[in-house]
Amino acid sequence: MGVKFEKKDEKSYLLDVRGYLCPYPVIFTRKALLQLKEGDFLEVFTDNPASCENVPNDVKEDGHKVLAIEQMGRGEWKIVIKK
Amino acid sequence: MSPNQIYKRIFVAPWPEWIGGLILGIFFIIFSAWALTPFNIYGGYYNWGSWFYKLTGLSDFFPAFKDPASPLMAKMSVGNLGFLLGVFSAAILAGEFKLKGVTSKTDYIEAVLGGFVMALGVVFAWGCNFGGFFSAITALSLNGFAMMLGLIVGGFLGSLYVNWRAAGIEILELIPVEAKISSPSTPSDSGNKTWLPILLILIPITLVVLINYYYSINGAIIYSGILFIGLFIGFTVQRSRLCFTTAFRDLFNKKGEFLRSLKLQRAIVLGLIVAAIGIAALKANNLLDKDLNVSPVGWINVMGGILFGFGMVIAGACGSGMLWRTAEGHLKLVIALVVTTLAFVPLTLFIWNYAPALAGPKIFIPTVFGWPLGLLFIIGLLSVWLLILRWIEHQWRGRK
Repeated sequence: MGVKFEKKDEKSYLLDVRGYLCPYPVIFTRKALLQLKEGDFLEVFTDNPASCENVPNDVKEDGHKVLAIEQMGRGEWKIVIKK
Repeated sequence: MSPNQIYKRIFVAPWPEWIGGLILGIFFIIFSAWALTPFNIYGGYYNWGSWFYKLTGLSDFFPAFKDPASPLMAKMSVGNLGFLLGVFSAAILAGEFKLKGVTSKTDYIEAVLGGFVMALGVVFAWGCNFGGFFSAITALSLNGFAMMLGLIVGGFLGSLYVNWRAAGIEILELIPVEAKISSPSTPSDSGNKTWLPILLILIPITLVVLINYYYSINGAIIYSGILFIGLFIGFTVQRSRLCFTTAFRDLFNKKGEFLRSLKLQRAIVLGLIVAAIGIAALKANNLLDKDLNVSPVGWINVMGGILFGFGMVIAGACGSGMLWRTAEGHLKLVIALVVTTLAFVPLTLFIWNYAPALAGPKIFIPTVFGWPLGLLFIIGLLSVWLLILRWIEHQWRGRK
C-alpha cells in the first residue's frame, strides 16, 4: 500500500498520510517535499494528533515554511507547507 | 486572557512537554504516598490477563498461578482505568478522538509482534517504561538505569526498522491533474461527529458509580483516590503528548522526529528528578517502604529494555501508551494491548518459575552510598544523560 500523493494544480500538491502513526507522517512529508520545486505548496492530511506538532517543527527545521495547520474535522488536520 | 482563551490553552492546545514531565513527577509522588504501591502499568495488565486465564480454566496449566483480586480492587487495575478515563476525556475535549481502524496487514503483524515482544521485555526488565524505568529510577533502584540503557538501544533498533519500512512504502508517483480519476481525498465527514462530546458524560457516571461502590465497602476508599490520580496522570500525558516511544525512538534518527525526542527526553528527566526527590523524602522518613519498586538488576534487565524498546516502536506505543492510544480510538493499539496482556501472565509465570536464576540482586542505591549521596548519585547520572542529549542535539543541529 502506498501513500496518496497528488498534484492539485501547477504549484500545489496533496499528501494523504491518514492512518499512519508517528513517525511515518514526518518521514513521508520529507520524502514528498524532496519531489517539489522551490515555492511549491504541499498540503498534508493527517489523523495523528502528534503530527500536528511534529510535521511543522521538523519541516521548519529543514528550512521550509509552515503556512497553516487547520482542523478539518474531529481528529483530522491539514498542514500547509511552502517549500 | 478571556475564559475562552484559557479553555483553549488547557483543553485544546497541546501543553509543552516539560510541563507534562513536571506534573507527572508531582502526581507520581502523590500516587506513591497515597497508594503505597509501585506505579506499574503492567501490574494492572497482569490482573486483567489473570482473569482471562482463570475464567477460561487455562490457568490450571500454569505453574504457581494465584487467583487475581477483583479488577475493581486491584490497585494498578484501578490506576489504569483512571488513566484511560483521563486520556479519553482529554482527547474528546481537544477534538482528537477518532476511531481508527487497521488498514494494512503489516499493522496487524506489528501490533501482535510488538505486544508480545513488549510483554517479554517487561518480564526481563521487571516492568515497562513505568515499572521498570520511571518508577524504578525514582524508587532509587539501580534496575531503572539498566532498563534505560536497553531502551536507548531498543529504540535505536526500532528506528532502523521504521526507516526500512518507510523506504518500502511507496509514495505514489505524482498523479497529474488531467489523469486524476477521483477527486483528491478530502478528509471524510465520518470523522466529523458532533455527537462525540456526549460521550464525556460516561466519565462522571463511571466515577460516581465506582466511588459509591468504594464507599459501600469498608477500607476501599483508597481506590477512589487511585482512580482520580490515575485520571490526572492520563490527562496530563495526553495533553503534553508525553510519548516514551518517540523519546527513545528517534534520538539517533535524522529522518525521524529527533527534535521531539530530545524535548521528550528532557521532560522525562525533569519528571524523574522531581519524583526521585519526593520518593527519597518519603523513603528516608520511613513513610514509604524502602523496598517499594526496587527490583532485581542485571544484564537481563538491559536485554528486557532492548526488547521492550523495540517492541514499543513497532507496535507504536509503550506500556502506558497502549492505554493512551486505545482511549484515542486506535484499533492497532487495542490489538497490541490485548496481545501483551494475554502474553504477559504465562511468560511471567513460566520464566520465573523455571529460570529464577536469571534474576540479579536487588540494589537500592542509598544502601550503597548512604542517604543524601544516593540521591545525588541518581541526579548526577541523569545530569550526565542531559549532557549527552545536548551533545546529540549539537550533532544534529550544529550551533542553532
